[in-house]
Amino acid sequence: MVRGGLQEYAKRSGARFVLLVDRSGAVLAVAGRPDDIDPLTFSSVASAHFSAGEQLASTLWGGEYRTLLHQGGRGAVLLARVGAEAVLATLFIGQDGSEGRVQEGAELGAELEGVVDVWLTDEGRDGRGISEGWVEAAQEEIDRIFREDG
Amino acid sequence: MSMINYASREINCKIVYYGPGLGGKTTSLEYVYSRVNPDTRGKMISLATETDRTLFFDFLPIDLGSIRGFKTRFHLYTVPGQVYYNASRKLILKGVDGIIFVADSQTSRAEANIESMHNLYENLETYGYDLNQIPFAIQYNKRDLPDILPTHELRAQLNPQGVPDFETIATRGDGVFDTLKAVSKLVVKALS
Repeated sequence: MVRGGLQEYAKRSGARFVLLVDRSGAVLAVAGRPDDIDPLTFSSVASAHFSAGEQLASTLWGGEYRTLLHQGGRGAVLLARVGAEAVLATLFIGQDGSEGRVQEGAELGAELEGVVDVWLTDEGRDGRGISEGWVEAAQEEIDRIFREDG
Repeated sequence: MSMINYASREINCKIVYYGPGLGGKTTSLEYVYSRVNPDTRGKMISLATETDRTLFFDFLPIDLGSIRGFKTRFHLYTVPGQVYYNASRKLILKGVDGIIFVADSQTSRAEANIESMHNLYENLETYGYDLNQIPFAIQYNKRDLPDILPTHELRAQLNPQGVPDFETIATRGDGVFDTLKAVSKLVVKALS
């Protein structure tokens, strides 16, 4: 439902891509074409930026903070709240962030609220969770990657 | 805390470098960036002032690849150390899985270390996190400078709980990987 919702929204709104990001900055789901844009960088900055805006708004006015729109010369970035745990980040290229688009992003953010947590924890729970030996394998990889001789 | 995304079969772990201003957090991250294989690291971003002081955070993603069917990544962050950037520090701690405290070994910075450590406890508490339950290690940095406190004194001031700690010289990279490895291993262990 979450991935399908993002894909449908990306297509309908004409967005270049849409990211669902958790508040720690990790990518949860992607729809559209990131192409040369690094989703990890985009998600970490988008998440922190939205949280900072939320904090600023809360300091100034209190109340709920739902969307943040950046309008640039080549396009727009729309950030919308998805509950307390996630943010919906939408990139439009060659299009502006019209009132309709902001409204649509806010609505999808509200729709996703409540289903994201369930989706993340339940989908894929088909017995393929972290297997025995995962920790040891990860620790071996850590030794390999973080070594002085590169 | 750690998010295992069963939908996309991804595990993302967030490790934050914390500590007083000018203690060596960004330098430690820059060392990691300079030494890990370019294939495993993403782009390092620094939201800094014109004088290269961290304004919001530095970010470096490290890709461990697919481990037993889960794409596994570490997201390394630094926070701004200056006292007045506390709101930014607090935001970056959201969802943290592991913390590296970078203490400045210079005698003149002893108070700043202690203040920053208290600040870390306070900020974690606002999220309901308990540092005793989070993978945690300490770097006693700048061991090459004159007028530094002996390690046992730093340990008494900052590490009464006896978490893994390391003497480091971040400008040369001494001890930086040792600390990062220690915390990273604790983080993955905490996932099991």
